[in-house]
Amino acid sequence: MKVHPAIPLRSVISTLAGYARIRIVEQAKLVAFIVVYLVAFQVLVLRVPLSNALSIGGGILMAIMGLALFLEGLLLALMPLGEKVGLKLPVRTSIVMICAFSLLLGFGSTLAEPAISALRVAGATVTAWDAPLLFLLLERHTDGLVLSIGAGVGIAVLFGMIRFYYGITIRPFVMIIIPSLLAASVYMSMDANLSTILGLAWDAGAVTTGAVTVPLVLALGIGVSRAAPRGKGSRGGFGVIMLASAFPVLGVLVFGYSVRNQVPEPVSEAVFFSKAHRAQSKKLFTTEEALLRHAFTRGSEIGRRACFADDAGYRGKLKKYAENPEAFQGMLGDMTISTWLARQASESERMVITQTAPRLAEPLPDSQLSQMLLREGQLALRAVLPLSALLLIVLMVFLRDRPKYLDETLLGLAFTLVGMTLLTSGIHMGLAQLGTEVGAKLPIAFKTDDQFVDYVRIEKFDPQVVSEAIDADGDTHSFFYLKQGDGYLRVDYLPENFNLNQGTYQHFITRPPMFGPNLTILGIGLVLLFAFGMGFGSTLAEPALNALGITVEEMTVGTITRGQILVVVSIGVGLGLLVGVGRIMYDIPLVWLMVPPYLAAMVFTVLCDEDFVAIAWDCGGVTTGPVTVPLVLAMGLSVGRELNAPDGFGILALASVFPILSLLVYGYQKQRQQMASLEGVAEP
Amino acid sequence: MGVDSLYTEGGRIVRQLAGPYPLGIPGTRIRINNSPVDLFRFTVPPERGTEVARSVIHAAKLHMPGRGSIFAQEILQVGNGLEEAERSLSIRKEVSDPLWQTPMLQQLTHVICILSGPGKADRLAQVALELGIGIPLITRGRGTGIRDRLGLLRIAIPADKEIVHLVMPEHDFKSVFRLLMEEVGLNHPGRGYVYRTPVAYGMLDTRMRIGKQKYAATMDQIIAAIDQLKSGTDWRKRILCGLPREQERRLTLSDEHCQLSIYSLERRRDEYVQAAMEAGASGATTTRVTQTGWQRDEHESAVRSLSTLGVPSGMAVPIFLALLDVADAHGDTHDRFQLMDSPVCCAKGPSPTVVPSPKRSVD
Repeated sequence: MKVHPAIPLRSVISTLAGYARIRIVEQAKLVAFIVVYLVAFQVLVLRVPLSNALSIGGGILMAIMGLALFLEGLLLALMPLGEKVGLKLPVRTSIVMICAFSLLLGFGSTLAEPAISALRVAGATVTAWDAPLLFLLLERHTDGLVLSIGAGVGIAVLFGMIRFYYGITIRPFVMIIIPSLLAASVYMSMDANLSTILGLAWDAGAVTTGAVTVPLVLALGIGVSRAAPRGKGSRGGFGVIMLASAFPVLGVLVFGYSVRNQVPEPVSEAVFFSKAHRAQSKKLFTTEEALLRHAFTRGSEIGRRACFADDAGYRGKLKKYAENPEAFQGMLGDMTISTWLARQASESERMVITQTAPRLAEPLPDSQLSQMLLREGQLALRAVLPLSALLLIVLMVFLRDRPKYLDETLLGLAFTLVGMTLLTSGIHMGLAQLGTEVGAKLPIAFKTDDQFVDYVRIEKFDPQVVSEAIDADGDTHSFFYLKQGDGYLRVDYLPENFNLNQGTYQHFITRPPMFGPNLTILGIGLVLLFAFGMGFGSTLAEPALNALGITVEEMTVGTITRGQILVVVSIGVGLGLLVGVGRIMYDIPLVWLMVPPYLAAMVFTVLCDEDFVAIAWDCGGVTTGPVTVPLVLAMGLSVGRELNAPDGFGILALASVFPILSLLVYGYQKQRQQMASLEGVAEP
Repeated sequence: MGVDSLYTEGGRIVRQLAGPYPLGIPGTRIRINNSPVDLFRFTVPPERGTEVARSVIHAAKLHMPGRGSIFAQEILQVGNGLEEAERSLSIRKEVSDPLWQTPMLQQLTHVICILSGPGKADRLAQVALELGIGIPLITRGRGTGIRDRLGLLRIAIPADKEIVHLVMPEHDFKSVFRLLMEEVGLNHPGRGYVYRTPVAYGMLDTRMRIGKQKYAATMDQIIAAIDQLKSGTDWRKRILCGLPREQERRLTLSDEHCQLSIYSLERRRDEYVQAAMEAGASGATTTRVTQTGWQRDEHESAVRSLSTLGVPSGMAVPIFLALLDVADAHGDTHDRFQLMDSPVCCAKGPSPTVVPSPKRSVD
């Protein structure tokens, strides 16, 4: 070996600077779209000023740095490691060992990258009376749910590796699994209880394949496919992600089916909380307290009243809470009183609570940067370390080999860890906050009535300040001026808000609908446009998709570039989100929206080239990752909450199927162009 | 035909695509079109090269522009089971077919540009198409060499290489080379390098443009027809204009290099490259090929590594011997080693004495 050439420090610095610049600029470009889009939407369309600009800006910078580091880490350590293990496994061990390893890897990756938190966020509005089975899975049988998803991913990786080992095409897998899942879904959609878990099942499939799992499994598949005697050679390696998205759906459906007898039938809210139904309801809750909390945090006044024997009992309880806000807050749990007032409380409840309750200091959100970094760092450690340790152990102990450059692998792992920490923290601080802000304000675009924002209690209200005004018809209106800061606000005087005994007046601050009471079509159009843009923009920045794009470009020698994959898939996700939000707004059953695109995708699966089919189906599982999920959920939930949608599920599933379809259509189009250009060749 | 081993490499060819502008804007819009292609490599004894080539042309209808190219190069090959391979060859001659009489083009050269980092090849391909040199074929590979001696700093230097293959008339080479160097900036360090290998004969695809066609025959078809009529490409010799003779004279081409190719199992790749580098080679470019044919070991994967090294002529023999030592250590292997005369023409570069060439490869 030749001697290490002496390199001047200046060259080292300039080389490293160039290296870093290229990667950071690349990610900055990908993130730019979604940032500009969100800011423009908020400031120009919704006309709400940007709050926390500094922390959001900082968060975005962190996310960009995180993305660059994470992707580089994947390319330096995890992917070469996965590929190396994949290359060695068929040579040094038997197919049985490969199966065992795949099962372990698939199962382990689900535990390492828990998708369950995202699913619980999506299920934040699930109510026990509308969807008892869904509630049971999400709140009580969380472990069972995670295990069934993990088993699904494990079996998927196992089937994927068997496929590569024996060089079986992807088509039979698509043609058997997808129709079975669709048939099961259609069957379950006919049962009131089972139909509620369909969204959860399909979403579980979409979110399980995380940003670490995807590149790892992809690289492993590429390795096995190349080294197996009957493998597909240099073009194989795709298709496992598709299986890893499909089998968890099956896992959740089977699990849900098996526990369906443990829950009561869906009933109305009033019946659910009534004393007569209590024995049934208690199947879902451990304590009375939990039941009451559920009535307060997710139910309406009807449910809460039903909890008590009579109206007086309920009023008395409410008064007690009004006098003792700490107890009230304790009962509400994670939800703050002001959120409860804005979202759940009826007008009369609002009156009772605001009349007497002294304002509680809002618990400050956990925004300490160092704490967040620590928390996200632990999650990153959990996602990266066990999987890479498993790979390293298998490689070094069982396969008796080592990475070509151990220093490079360790540096890559460090990059992955730091990158993931910065990325997820940055997303929480920047993009998700921006997304939540816009998402929360989005409903004003299609709302038809005023929205409660906050309230002001005026102590010692003097009715003397009320003035009268007259309109053209001779009707009189009362109003008064409220001094706020340096300005004076004109407030309509409503006699029912004045409490003569206490001498207080309650002024409720509301926001009028954006397009007037009737003009909702424009508002709905705006929301759909927003959904499309958000899906498109956030997918562009998704690191796992980037890694997949790089791999595809490499495998196809640039015939399909990363840019093409990114754009086509992002358009698909945008469309999926548009349909998903549409589903929430119009309450369309998920099955109706899932079956047609999947059927269309199957038709194109037959028409398209085999290699491309596997790539396209993989992209569906890759699209929902650390950038998309928080943003999409924030939006879906706020829209859903406004429309009293039972849950926010289904959006992620739709964001998975549409990219498959868009990519297949694109591939088919390209293939036809290719054929057409060849047909132009004539005999000279 | 009974070829013992066929090595397939995936790549793409770049053509111009002529089409209308969108929204009915008048004019013809020229875009770049990428099509996936396969590059097949196999070896046959030199005396049977022409008939093999003709039968491939016949079977794949390569005489039609747009179907593909074929060319043959003289090489020296070492490996197990080669004698058997020679005997297995059987070709059905259809001499009555007029195609069988079509003369092959002579005086061609295979130019290989190895460029650092993905995306660089597109510019070069575009220039090649604009100059009408030929249809560029782009493949991918990974480089080993200086990068591996830099320690951890190596991560800052992309290992991915794009390899542009161009087969063009030999007499055009100097002028075209000069233009390529200027257009792609290959005369700057770190961008990549160019070398060429001699081609014995071949039949080239001339369809550089696809899509909208205005006339009864395209320029490509006319060129192909005249090439065939004249049995060569001499008639289209490029006249250099505008290039100062001074610069032309400074363009030095070294004949002192040769190209060494190793077809091996992927897991042995590093071992071979390491051995070659210890014996004096400066670096290697590896690509992935898939082996088919009756000589393939059914218990092994079909994927092979093709490592290409440019070595100075004087070092060719010691390096070759070092590689054979490694192969011997593995016993009965189907790994193969090929040596080809390769005059190098660029900033960085590698080369050998003229090697006797008992084998001929048809690419």
